Amino acid sequence: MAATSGLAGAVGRARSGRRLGVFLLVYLLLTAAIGWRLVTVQVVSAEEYRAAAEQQATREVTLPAERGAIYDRAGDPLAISVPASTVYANPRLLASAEIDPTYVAADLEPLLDADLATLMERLTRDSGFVYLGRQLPRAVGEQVEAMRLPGIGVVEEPRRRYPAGPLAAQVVGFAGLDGEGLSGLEGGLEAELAGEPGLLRQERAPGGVEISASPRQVEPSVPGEDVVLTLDRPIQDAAERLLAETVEEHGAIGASAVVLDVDTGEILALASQPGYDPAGIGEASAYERRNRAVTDVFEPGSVNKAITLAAAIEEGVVDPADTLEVPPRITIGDKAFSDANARAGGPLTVEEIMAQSSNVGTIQIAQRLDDETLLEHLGSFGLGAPSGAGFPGESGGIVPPLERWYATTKPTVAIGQGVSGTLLQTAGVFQTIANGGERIEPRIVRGSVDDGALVAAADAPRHDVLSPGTAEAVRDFLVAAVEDGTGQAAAVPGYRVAGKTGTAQKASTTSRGYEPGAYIATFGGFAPAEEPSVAIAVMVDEPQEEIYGGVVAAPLFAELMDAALARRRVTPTDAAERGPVPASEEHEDAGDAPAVGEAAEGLGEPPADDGG
Amino acid sequence: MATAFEDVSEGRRQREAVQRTWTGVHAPARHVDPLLALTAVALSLLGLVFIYSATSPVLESGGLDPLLFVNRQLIALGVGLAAMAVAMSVDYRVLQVWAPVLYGVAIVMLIVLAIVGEAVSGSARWLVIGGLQFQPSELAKPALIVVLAALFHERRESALGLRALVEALALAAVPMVLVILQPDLGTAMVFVAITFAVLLLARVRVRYMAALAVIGVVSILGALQLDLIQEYQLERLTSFLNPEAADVQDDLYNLNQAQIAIGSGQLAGQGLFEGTQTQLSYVPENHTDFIFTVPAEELGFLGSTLVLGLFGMLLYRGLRIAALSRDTFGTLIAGGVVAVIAFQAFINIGMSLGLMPITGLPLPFLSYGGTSLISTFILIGILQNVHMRRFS
Repeated sequence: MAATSGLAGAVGRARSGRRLGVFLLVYLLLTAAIGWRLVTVQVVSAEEYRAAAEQQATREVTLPAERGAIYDRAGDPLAISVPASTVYANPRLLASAEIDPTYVAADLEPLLDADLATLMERLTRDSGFVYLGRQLPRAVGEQVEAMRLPGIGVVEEPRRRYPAGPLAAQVVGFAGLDGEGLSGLEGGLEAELAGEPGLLRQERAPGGVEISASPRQVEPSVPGEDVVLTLDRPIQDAAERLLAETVEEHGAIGASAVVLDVDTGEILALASQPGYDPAGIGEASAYERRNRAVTDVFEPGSVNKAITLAAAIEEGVVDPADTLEVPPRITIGDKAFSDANARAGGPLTVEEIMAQSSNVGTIQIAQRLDDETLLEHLGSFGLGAPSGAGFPGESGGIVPPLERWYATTKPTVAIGQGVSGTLLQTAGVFQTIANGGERIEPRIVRGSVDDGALVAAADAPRHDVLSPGTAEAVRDFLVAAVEDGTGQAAAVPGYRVAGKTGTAQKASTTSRGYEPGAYIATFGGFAPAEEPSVAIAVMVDEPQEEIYGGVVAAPLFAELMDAALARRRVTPTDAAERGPVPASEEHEDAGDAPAVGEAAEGLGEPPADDGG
Repeated sequence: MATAFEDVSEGRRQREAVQRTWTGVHAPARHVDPLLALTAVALSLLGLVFIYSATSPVLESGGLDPLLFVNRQLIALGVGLAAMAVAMSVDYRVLQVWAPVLYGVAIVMLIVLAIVGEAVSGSARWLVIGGLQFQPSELAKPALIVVLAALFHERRESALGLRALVEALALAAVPMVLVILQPDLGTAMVFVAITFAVLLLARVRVRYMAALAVIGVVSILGALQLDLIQEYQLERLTSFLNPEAADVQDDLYNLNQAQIAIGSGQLAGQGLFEGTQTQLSYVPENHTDFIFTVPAEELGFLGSTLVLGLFGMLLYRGLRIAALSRDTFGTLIAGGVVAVIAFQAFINIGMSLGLMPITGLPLPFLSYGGTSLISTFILIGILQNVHMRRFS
């Protein structure tokens, strides 16, 4: 058996030994080549190949997250997602299975409520996926599923609904077909509402065919948060109704109102009329769709005099009890200012300057402040920056920077011209004065719903703007403006109301300067004066014939204030003047919130009883 | 006398005992190569497992018996083992006489195929006789080996002569032309490998062989010029040289998927029956031409090495048998057999790895396909035959 010992020896002894050696050499070379290639593919570049294999063999399906609902402060729904069925088709599959789309279309037509031609067009497209009907009632989806048509599928795709219809429509906004927020808080609170989509991983064979038996890996979606707004539906409702009436009465193109809770900065109502119904969003104009109380800016006009006086008193350049010699007109730089109602010169108390809305008197006081100080006060009242409430498209208004202040800037700004802001900012000015000089950033989100209970949002930031003394002095002037001055139409029977009128020309959209004949009438104020509960600002856009805030806006303010105080069951200052307080219908509504699931529980708050 | 008788009978008994021992020791059946047999069977069994892995998901999803292909291959394995036993039973030296007959039968079958065979996907390779289909070209492989070995054994004194060389080339050319006509370029190349191996071991002069190589290259170019080789064959053969160029081509898709399968096996594999490329049929023909991707993906580098190692063992035993053969005929036969198996294995594995052209050559033992398996076991039987009778 010596011959079997070792190939080399055997090969050497063989007659064809050398030739066998060549054979062996070729074999070894080929083995080395294969081995080298194997190491390259399976060891060196293996990760790449495995990634490629995984990528082509896995199908990832996004599992949409359930979108959170939007509730008003009592837990009644403003926006909710309801289950719905979307029907789709795979036209390529139909084609490859040689199924006549005519029959499919004929079968589906009555169910989907679509016309035959459209269905045919979609079913014959060269595509692997077409929608046949989106967000249809669930019953339709179930019927389609029961038909078991090849190449036709049904998926759950919730439909966004707005049960309150046009109420607060611009505030809530709307979400698109794919459930993404497009405008209003639907857009602004997208991060909270959207949730996190889940993922379904599944193996697939070449051509995208799912392997039904293959293991599935599911990362469940995280549903979006249910958000509770600060909006108080009865007040919102009253605001929208009153605004619509005012628009009609004065032939205005629009009107807006903001109602703030003085103690918390919460936005109780935020309304603009005309608005829109979410069901008919397509027909609404951009003006109607805008949440104009936060997106549109205008010159506040005389309303700004409250800031000017407050700044002067706070800075100690004028005493609330002072009397000034006020001439009929005043010229600063190249510009002459006079009062709206021509009057002969003479002495006016600071209170009278405010009550009568004297431009000249206000400018005289403003001249005692330097530019920088007045600018600082404007800023501390929240002008020039968005409120922080989180509305998409919110404007911060326009306050000229110090380097663009000329000689005429200060007197102009002092009487509310040359600066602009939103109505929400105007309301904030009165909230600040009403709250003893402490400004609370307005907020629209009260909290979120977790496990049926309200989780309150973080407290809004607070800023000390005026000392309590200054705030009290300005408040008294504002009371005088309503009781004896330009704002008498803002009076609410039984309550002491503080407020200020404003009338401003609309800035031209086409050129520098003002739009001729286009005015904005405003009124801002709060009540009850002695212990303020709500601050309200209203504006009427381009009223016809009557243009003054005291005539157009003040009555609107009064009615809205009346409704708000009643809703909040604020004790009247003078109960006799009001007569017996009727049992508040709105109150009962709030306590009797329709079942909207767990959200209603714990949210039906009793209206604050602010009266002492 | 009694003693003498006893002596005689004692001597006879001793002589008979020695004879018995001698014939016993040298009985051919006792000299088979057990390692060769074991390796061949091991590769076949692995093949069954890989075929199951590659075909069962598709069969199952089609509502068919997942063992359908495995069962068919199992029958072929039984027939193959029987054919191997037959190939071992008759002394291989008898084949020297029968070589022309064997060769003649193979050629006739190829001619019949060329006449009656119907093209399946562009090439006619199968002949159906009594419901059984088989590939005549598979049987032509052992026939060519035997006839060339017989030729050079006969001419061993004048082996270096030009005449023997011309005769050998003529013998090889006939089946080669017939398979090219099918067209089956891969098998034609196997014939080239066989011829080259036999010429090499028959100690044909190096200068003749070099001249032959030059003539071969020139004639291939000429064949291209005369459109004897179809355009698609050339594309198939050269696509591996330029893999990034056109993913759209089917071959390159196959190649690409094969690379992904092999690469994603990494070191230890994704687990038997768990490779996505294999189970989801991303690699086409992964039970036939691309079967190497199955162990590569599911058993990883270790699995690939195991398969390569088994082939290495097989070819080592084959070369050893060629070296130990008691005559030139045996050496040439064994060398031819080793050349067939090695050539197909390297071409096939090299193809899966993107090193060699896509030729449609099966991987011996592993690829699904009855005729190939049976023919390979006949070749192993011939190898054993040579080895068994190295003392007699």
